[in-house]
Amino acid sequence: MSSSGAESLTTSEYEMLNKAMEFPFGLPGFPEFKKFVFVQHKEERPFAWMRSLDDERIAFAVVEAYFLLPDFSFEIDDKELEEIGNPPPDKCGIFFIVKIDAGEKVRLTVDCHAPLIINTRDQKGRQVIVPSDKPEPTVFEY
Amino acid sequence: MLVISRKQGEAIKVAENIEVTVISVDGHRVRLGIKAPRSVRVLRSELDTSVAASNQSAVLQPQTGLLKQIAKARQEKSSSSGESANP
Repeated sequence: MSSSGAESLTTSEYEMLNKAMEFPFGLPGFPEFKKFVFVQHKEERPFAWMRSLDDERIAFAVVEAYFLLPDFSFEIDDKELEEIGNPPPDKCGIFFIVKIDAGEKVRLTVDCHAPLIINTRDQKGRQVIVPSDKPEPTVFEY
Repeated sequence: MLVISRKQGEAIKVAENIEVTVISVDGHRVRLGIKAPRSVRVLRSELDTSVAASNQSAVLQPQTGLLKQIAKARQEKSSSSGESANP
């Protein structure tokens, strides 16, 4: 992990930007979307875009789980990890899809049941569904 | 599909290491206790549907300004409240 400033990119995040990522299983709700690319401008940190390469009109806002919920942890099944190439822990990026309602205030919602796991070594990812001790979506307002 | 009737307190065993016990039955609600190794993922089935729905509601058109605006608001909030946004 880099020792630079507070919201700089982690190693895993930096390595994975602007590369086509394969999502062999698509996403729940979007089973046919199997290729994404993560892009980020400096001013957007710690958020990033996860853009579909199958349909360029579609994108998700994502954020590394650590930045929103520093204590977030979950159990990942060995088989699920194997299916995206068995990345070592330092090549595993954990992200959330962020739902954004931008009005007077900006309201961000993340579903802790559904982190994205990215194998930054092999450019493969998937969304997993995990039990969470936070039953409700978590909301941040700015 | 295998269908088995069980009473309160009774259990079924799946493979060698999974046991599902009917803890209580109260009207239409059944409480189950599940003993399984950690590697076996146990989830309420409707979670799948709810994650698909939350993904669908999170779709955005790529807009250049949106995430910058949020990142800025987030930074302003953390500096004004004196809290670290990234403990």
